Amino acid sequence: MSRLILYFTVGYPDRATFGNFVSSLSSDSVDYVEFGFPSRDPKYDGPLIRKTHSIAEYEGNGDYSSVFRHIIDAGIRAYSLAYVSDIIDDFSGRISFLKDTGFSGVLMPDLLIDYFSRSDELISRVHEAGLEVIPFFNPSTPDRVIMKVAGMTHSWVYYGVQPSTGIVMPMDMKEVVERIRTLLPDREINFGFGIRSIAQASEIIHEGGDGVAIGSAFISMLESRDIKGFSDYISSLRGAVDAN
Amino acid sequence: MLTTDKMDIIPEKWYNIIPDLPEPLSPPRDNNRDSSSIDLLNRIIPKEVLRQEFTVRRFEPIPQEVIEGYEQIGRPTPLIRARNMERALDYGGKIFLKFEGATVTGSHKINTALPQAYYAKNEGIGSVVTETGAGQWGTATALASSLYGMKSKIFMVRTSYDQKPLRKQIMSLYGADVSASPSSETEFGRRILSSDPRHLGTLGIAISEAVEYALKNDARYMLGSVMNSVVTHQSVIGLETRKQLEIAGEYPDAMIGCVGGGSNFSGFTFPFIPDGDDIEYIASTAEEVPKFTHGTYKYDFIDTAGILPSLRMYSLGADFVPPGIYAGGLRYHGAAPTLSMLIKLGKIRAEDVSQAEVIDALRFFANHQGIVAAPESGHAIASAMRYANLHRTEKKTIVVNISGHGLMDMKIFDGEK
Repeated sequence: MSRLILYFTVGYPDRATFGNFVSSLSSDSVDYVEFGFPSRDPKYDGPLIRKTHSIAEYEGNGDYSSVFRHIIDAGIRAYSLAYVSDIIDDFSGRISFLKDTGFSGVLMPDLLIDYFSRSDELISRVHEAGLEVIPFFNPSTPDRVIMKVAGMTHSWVYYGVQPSTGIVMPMDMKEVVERIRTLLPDREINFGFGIRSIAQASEIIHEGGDGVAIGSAFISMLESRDIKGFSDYISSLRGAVDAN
Repeated sequence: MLTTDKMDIIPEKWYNIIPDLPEPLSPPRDNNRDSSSIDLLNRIIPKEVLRQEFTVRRFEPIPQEVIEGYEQIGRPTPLIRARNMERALDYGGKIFLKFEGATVTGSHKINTALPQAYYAKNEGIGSVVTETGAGQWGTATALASSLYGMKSKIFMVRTSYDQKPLRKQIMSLYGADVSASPSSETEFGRRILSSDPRHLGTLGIAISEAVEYALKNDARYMLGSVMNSVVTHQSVIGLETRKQLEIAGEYPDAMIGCVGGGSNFSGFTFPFIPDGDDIEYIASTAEEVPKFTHGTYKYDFIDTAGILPSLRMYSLGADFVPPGIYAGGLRYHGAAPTLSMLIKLGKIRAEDVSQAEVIDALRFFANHQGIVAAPESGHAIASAMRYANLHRTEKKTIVVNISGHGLMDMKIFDGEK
């Protein structure tokens, strides 16, 4: 079965709505949830996700522990998505919090871009704390970097197909999937960044992706508090990725 | 000059260095919180060019129509053993010149203008727009759009517009509508002129005007340098050079070129980078625009108005106004992100050359090789002469990219004996 991964900015659009949407999820439809911790500078996100970071109600690590626990207790794996630039000053504290709360791992979209020279050290620190590092690759990641970082980690891989979240550039999806699949034939590879439609998600699975990560596509449902529409959308998405 | 069947020399695929870089390339970044300047590219750049900008392909097939176009405009360009220069410098090794000035527009710029125009035409586009500094990119755009039956609009940096009237005439001959930038035809141009009616112009301002024009007139914007897709197209220079050197039984010890936005240098050298660390690469820049030696490696605007996304590159700042040197093509504040990264990592060495040294080098080069090279290329020649003098007895093979001819830049010699 294909993986379905949902992205939420923690606390967006407000405390109650975020909690209600996340609590509505079940492991029958969703495999992993990425929790994006609000950033001062969500530099590699598109305008839709950037907006969620500026509006989200968030006051610190422990703010939403019960929401995170709910997901984890429901059998859905939770991952933190945070920019290294936001957590580097209290890196150990953040990793400890995630471990204690039951998170499975961390994604750091700027790790290989802005902290490449420190990436070995930071990956080791996360591993030592007992969490996974999800390698974040994209079409600009050179082959040797993919092989090196994949060799240092053991989890699934997040492949961002577009240069920014929610932005859709002309792209040959078959070629994109084939390239990373050729480099990492035995690894679970899930695709995100710029997947805006069920048809796109379906295409990625059809071309050989193990799963898809969706975020920007349901922001409008969060904003309109349309939890019924959200549930229907997730069901459709699940059906589409499983149909391949 | 080496001769063989042309079609054996012109490559069938361009080379894209991104999969072979030592570190991940930083992605473009939006400049505003509420809108996406990355998404804006979808409105102004031909789709196929955008696909190539973000492609995972190491080798990009060149369309057959473009290969034929390359042949029509003078490709393959010659690789010349510079024996006279070697003798005059009393140099013990060999010097080869890759002469991009042999194309019909007189520079390497047509190498990317042709495919960009081809892709725009294939997408049903009727007009293209761009900026030009020295006039070489504008000339290439004017010809390429004319060959594919499209209109072209060129914003030419005022200092070059005033210094190089022949360039404007050639662009007009090819059918282009040419305006001096800053102009009164765009909001951004009017804003600049209102604060300084005699502004000399910069490439960053001209890019801003061209992008604004594209957005308001449903034209497609032609990328002259800096971007990955342009560097990929320009790899035709290095790929030809490699084949020509193979035929001559040679391999470079040093490759030298000049850098404005970085496309001729990158296109010339990048196909050799995966070979390893045996080649010395020297990027020659204008002392008056010392982006690598005095610039900062950071995210910065491509254009002065900040309409386009920011790129991580060496930059002197998008508001940098360079002196009115003759090498207009080297006045740009930044450089290609791929090239910038390789310079930061020490894979490529940068050196600055003064205009006075460039004029001496151009004079020497004309007297001994007979080629009147472009002022931009004069920087590469000056760096090659420095290199030859330092390695006089080591029998090293130097390959220099002469990015264009200077037949329309003779004013640089005004006042000279």
